[in-house]
Amino acid sequence: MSGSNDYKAGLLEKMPKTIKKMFNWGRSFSLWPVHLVTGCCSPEYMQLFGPRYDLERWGVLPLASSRQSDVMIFVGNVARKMMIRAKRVYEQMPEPKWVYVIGACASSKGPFPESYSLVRVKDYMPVDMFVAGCPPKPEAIHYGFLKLREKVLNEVEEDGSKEVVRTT
Amino acid sequence: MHRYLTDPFQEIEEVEGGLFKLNIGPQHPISGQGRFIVLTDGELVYDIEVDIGYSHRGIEKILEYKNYIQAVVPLERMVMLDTSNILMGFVRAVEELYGVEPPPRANYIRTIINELNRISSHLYALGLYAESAGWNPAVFIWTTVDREPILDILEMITGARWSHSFFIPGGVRADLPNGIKERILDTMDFLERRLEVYEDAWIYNETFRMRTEGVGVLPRDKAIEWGAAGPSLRASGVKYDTRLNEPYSAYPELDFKIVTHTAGDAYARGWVRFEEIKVSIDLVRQAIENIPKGPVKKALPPRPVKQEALARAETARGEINFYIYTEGRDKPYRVKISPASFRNFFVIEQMPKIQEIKLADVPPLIYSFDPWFLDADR
Amino acid sequence: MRLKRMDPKRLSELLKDRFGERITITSLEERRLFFKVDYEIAHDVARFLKENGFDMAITMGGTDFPKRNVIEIFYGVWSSTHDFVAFMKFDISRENPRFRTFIDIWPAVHNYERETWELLGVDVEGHPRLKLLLLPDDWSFEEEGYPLRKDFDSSRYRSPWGDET
Repeated sequence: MSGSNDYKAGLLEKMPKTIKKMFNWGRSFSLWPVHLVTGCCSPEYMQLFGPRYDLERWGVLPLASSRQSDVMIFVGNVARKMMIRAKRVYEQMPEPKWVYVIGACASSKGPFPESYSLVRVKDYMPVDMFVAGCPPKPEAIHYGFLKLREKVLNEVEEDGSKEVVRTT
Repeated sequence: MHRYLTDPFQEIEEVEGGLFKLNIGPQHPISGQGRFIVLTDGELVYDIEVDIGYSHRGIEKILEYKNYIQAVVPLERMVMLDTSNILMGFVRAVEELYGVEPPPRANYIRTIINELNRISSHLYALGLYAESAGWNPAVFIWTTVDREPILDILEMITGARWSHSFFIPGGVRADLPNGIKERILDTMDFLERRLEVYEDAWIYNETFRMRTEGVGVLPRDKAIEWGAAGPSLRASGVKYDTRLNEPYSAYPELDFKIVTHTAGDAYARGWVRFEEIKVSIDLVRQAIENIPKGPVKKALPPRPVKQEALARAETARGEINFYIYTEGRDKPYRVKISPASFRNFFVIEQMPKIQEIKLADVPPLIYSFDPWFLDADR
Repeated sequence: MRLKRMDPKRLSELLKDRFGERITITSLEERRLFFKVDYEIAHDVARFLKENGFDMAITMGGTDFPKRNVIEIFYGVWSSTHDFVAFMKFDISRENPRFRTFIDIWPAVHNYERETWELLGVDVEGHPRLKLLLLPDDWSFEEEGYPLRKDFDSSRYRSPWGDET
């Protein structure tokens, strides 16, 4: 869960729960990812936006700018040299934001475990969704997106007791 | 020893004389991760510096821990687009070390998979090139459509869309399935119809020619001196293609020509790639018609016969070469990979020295060389 | 002056005539010539190759041999007139590895020499831009070492499996 340090309660916080749920419903249909394609899973990611596995019907628009995006997608292996810049792009994104990790390399270095230059994403920033595969088929990445949408729609507290509707 | 650290957050830096250094990257909207630092005054570009290493994995070190069959898996992930052409270089080098010739049926299967990968990779590169010149993103989505039938064929043969791991030293892993010949011939007909659409809308289009003709002219002697590779070398008039100069697999028995151009500018480089797709379609048709019968793999002997070998293969981006040094064990002692994009980046850096480049021409110039950052970084 | 086309056997004879004992031919094949030279005449041999039509450098690197206490540097050059590859190797000492650059003869080896400097720890004298190319910006040679050397320990970078953190 990513949260900001100096968070001030705004107008949205005082609204009733149904209004907050409506905002989340709108957000889930318009998740714009920022494009951080670092590894060999990238051609598989590009095939997702073709006509066969059309991802844009869920409102996903691949955008280059980080100031207007909601999701940060790590596609493929991340080298140590790239991680500093990726962290800066992550900090440029406005709240609320999620992180989606595709591929075996970004989760746990994949077929290169002895590499001196690769790192794991979860050591540097909080991650919301992992998809395994080398490379994962487009149907698998698609399924991961749908699960991420469910996460955006409802947030439940850790012990399952209270349902929390997150707005930031 | 001198060592200069690059500042990770250097964005714009003022240099005297009214010039400033602009940082393009490392997060690009088009492809890969790599940084270009251009020295410009807002209109003309005086110097380009290329900063790579954002996808470095250290494959050369990893290969020292794997034997020759295990090495296939990390090695082919160097460039996911044409994995089999990269593996050709490695497999040829190992076969030379052990003195093994693969059986003829394996050669033909390798050729078919190589050419299918080459078509797929050229389509992707042309899509990115069009996107950088302004056709955003229509042509790129068309190429996504055209790659799907090719990936279906590859999945039927090998079991995976991109990462086949199908070539091993001594042959290929398995034989072709039934009914693949009709499927391949249908797909080649489909691709030829699609190429006519590209010709009308894009390659012979006036706007595209205006945007890319005369940009980044690379003369013939400089192309050889700076070590350009692949279609960039052939667009400057050098007749070099590893498939004809040092034939391997089934190429000695097939009939085709090298595509060259004399202009050496960005348009010529795109045109050469486009024509090579037609050559590849013809090669696939010839290979699938004349494929011989027989076994598909041969075992390696227990000891190598030579100590070192240098093997070259032609990938879609250019020639890759592998130098393997072995001390007689089942793991190599040293593998040196010299990919094509690594040399093309040096050529991009030298371009402002021989001609005037405008700032708006920098993306078509870069993507006409088809640089793949993962390839250069290994 | 047009060069007459030659094959690897003819090139090996020319090299032996010109440089005599200081060249050892290790392997002569249909399109390859592997040979080893002393470091002192390496630049003269390179210039001789360039004059005879070997104009495009296709590979360059180094191998670490701790048992023989040397680092072996190799250059592979292709000729557009003769259409084969000449592969030149020379040894430098492992305690104080250094050699002078070849970029005035073959400009294409610029980035290859940078990579050899950072991955093997070999000092290249006369190279105009010895900056880090592939390694991360915060790599420290004193603590982590040179990756392609044989005494580099890869096991401390190995990522944990499964549920370990």
